[in-house]
Amino acid sequence: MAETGISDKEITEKLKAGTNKDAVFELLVKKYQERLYWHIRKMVISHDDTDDILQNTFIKVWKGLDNFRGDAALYTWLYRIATNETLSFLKSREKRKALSMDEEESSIENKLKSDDGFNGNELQRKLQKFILMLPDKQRLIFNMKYFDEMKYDEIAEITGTSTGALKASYHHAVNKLKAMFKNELI
Amino acid sequence: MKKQDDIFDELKELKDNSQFSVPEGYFETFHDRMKQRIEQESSTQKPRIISMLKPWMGLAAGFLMIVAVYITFIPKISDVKTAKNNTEQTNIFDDVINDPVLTQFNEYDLVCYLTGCDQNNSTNENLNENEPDLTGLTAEDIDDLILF
Repeated sequence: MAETGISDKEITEKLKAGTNKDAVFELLVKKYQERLYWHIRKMVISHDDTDDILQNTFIKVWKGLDNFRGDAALYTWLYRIATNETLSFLKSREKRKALSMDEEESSIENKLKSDDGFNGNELQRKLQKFILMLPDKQRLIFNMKYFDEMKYDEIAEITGTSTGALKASYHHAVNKLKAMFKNELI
Repeated sequence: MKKQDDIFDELKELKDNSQFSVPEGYFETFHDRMKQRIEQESSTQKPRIISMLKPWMGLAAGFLMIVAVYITFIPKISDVKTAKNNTEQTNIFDDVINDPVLTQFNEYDLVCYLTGCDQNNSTNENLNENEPDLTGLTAEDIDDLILF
C-alpha cells in the first residue's frame, strides 16, 4: 500500500488554510491507515476487531478535525486516538470475558488461531503468546518501543505517561518476556 | 538452552508484520469504506441532533408564545388604561377651566399666584399703609411735608 508523500506540516497547513475537509481527511487516512492498523492489530490480534477500532479511530479524527489547531503533532494526535480506542476496546472485552463462562473463547491460544489471521512461525507465535500475557498498558508500551521503535518521548506524548515510568514499564515487560522464554526453553 | 539475548536478536529479524495476514485490497478500499461510514454517521446524527434539541425547541416555542401573548394583549390593556386616564385628565381640566371662581383671575394673577408675587403685593400694600396718602395734595402741601 503506497502512502502519500505529504508531510504532517503540509497537512496541518492545509487544515489551517481551510482546505476542503474531505480532501484533508483523505490525505490523513491514506498516510496513516496502515501504521495505525498495525499499531492496533498488535494489541488486539484479530483483523475484524482491528478494522472496527481503526474505523472508530478515523471517525473520531473526522469529528475532531475542525478543532485540530496543530498544537500537538498530527502523528501524536492520531496515535493517541488509536491508542485510547484500543485500550477502551480491550477494557470492554475484558468485561465481556469476565461475564462469559466460555473459557475457550477467551484463551490466549485461541486469539492466535490461524482464522484470526496470524500465520507467523513458531517463535513468533510464542512471542505473541507471551506478549498477550502482559497487562494491556505494558503490552502497548512494549509494542511501541520494540516493534514500532518509537522514542520514549513520543510514547510519553501519546500515552500521557512520564518517560521514567515508560522506561521502567518497558524493562519490566522485557524481563517478564525473557523469563517466559527461559521457562519455555528449559 | 538458548541465551535469552539470542532469542531477542532472532526476534528482531521477525519484527515485520508478515506474521499477520490482511484481507486482499483492505488498505486500497479502506478510505472508501470510511467515507461510507461517515455518510452513515452524519445521516443518523441529524435526527439525534433534532432529538437533542427537542426540549430546547419546546422551551423556546413556549417563550415565544409568552412574548407573542404579551405583545398582542398587553398594549391593548394599557391602551384602555391610558384612554381612561386621558378622559379623567380631560374632565379634570374642563372642571378647572369652567370653574366660576377661577374664571375671575387673569393670567397675571395666575402667574403671581404661582410665583408668589401676591405676597409681595401684600407687603407693598403694608408698606403703602405706613406711608401717608399723597393723593389730593397741592404743591404747597408737598413743600410743607418736605420741610417738616
